[in-house]
Amino acid sequence: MRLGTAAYVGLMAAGAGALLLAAVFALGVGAAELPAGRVLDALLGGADAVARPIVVELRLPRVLGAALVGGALAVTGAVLQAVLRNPLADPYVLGISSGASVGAALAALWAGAAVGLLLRSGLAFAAALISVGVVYRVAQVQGRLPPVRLILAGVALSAFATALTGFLLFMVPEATAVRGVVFWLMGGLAGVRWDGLAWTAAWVLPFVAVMIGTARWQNLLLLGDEAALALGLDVARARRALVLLAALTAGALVAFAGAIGFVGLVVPHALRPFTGPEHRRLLPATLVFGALLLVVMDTGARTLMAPEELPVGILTGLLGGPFFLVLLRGQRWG
Amino acid sequence: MGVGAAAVEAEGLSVRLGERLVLRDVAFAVPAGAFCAVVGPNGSGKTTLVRALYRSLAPEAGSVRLDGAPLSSIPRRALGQRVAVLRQEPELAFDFSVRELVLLGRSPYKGLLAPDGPADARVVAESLALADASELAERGFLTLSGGEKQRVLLARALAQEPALLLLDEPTNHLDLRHQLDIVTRIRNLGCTVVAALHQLDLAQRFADRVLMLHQGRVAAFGPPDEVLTPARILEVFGVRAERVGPPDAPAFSVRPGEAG
Repeated sequence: MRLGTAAYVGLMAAGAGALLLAAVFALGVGAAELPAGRVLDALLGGADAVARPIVVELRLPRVLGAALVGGALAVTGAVLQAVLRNPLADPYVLGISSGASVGAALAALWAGAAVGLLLRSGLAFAAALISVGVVYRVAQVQGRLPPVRLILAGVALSAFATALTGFLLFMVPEATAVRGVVFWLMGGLAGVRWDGLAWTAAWVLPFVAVMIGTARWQNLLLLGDEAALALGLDVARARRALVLLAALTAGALVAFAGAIGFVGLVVPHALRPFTGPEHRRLLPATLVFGALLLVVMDTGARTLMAPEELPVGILTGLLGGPFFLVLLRGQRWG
Repeated sequence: MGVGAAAVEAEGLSVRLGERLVLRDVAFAVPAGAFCAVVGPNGSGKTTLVRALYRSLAPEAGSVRLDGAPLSSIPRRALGQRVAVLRQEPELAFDFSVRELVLLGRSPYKGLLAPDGPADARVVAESLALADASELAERGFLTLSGGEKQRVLLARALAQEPALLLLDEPTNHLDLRHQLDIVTRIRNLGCTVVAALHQLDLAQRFADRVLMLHQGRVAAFGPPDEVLTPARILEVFGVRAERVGPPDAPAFSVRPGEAG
């Protein structure tokens, strides 16, 4: 079902259109239902005193945040799958997400539930970097980085980090703090405001751009180390750079919205039958459809059980897990 | 498209793989445009030698020169424009189309953001034609048979427009007709070829030079008639070999024998 160039452009246009529609819809639903007309009016600077603060101050940063996190997670997943030549790779498998969670739990233990974004992201980020450093060190043999070792090290570190996070949460005295951090560990975009969004976007968007710009490297890495070398790629350097980029991106995303699962795994897999594994086609599509997926999921998360809010990670896991199993059943790679 | 030819020579080449010194003090010189077969029993260092020739392994001592320039002085991407490798590929986990895969052969000529142009499409088409793989262009690589895969990988190597083509037992999984076909094609390309081969028949028939390795050392180097003698084959491979068949398609009939 591989798409030709025209059909690929059509797919991208459809994805972008659907993303736009989903965003407008998401801006309208919630405790205060707003029709599309009022939403658009508020966005365009209308004077509606009720709609404008709700749309622009509360919902818009959240929708943009969901798009940013979804798109960046999906791209990071695709990049890690290429770098490790393993279709199952994503920020979790490498221990990046759970490592970052330890940092966040530490922040909660230290400063309580009301911990500021700066401290939280700083610690999550540092912990993500430390995890990658540990996984990298352990996995490396003779200057090479065999993908299987990398994944084994990631899985082991991930289990440890998850347990450590649980222990740290156990130590947090206030029940509200536990609830807050649990929410955040499952992943959630509640409480996203403009300042946090701007900080995260300034961080993440350049990384995403570089990841898309290095698609040629990723194509070569998909062929295996020896073939990539023979085709003129400095494999060790390219892999190091891409793993670091992916870790920096994932760390920033976890600090912002928690460890949202399955987006990085599911989106590239769902798209590959249409785009093929050529990353110059795959990555732009994962960016758009990853954003679309998380905008839709996050809207579901805050409306399905209203006025209660589900952590969006529960939704992506509930839908992503079975979806992935079905995909796996239908695909041929071994 | 331009397939050039580069002279390749090694001097005092020793390569370590983990604890083991796999190549010891290997020296040879292959003139531009020649076909050099590397033969030897399993574990004699054939694959290691090929890997050293595209700097996948760094030598512990000695050097390799390409047209007189030390291999270690050539940047990785520039090396990809001069040296191509055809080997048994590990299974791909992702299904590239044949055309995409051969286009990746143009990578050494491309900056990260450079688009693929009509010139690249032309080289890809010519490479596919030279490898007799044109009709496979729109297929998925994973759907191909062993012989077809090898032709496509040859096309990818040719798309690099190499001056030196390295082969690492490229015919191992092929039936007799496909073996003959792919080696004949490669012989007629005009570029310098260094080929690790299992079959002495192919070496005898196609090579200008034969490099025989034994336990990581050069047992003999020279024209096939001088290297592939029954005495030396007995010593290195431990089999009694007898040359049979017509002069234009020589073969070896072998039976077990004791060295010494």
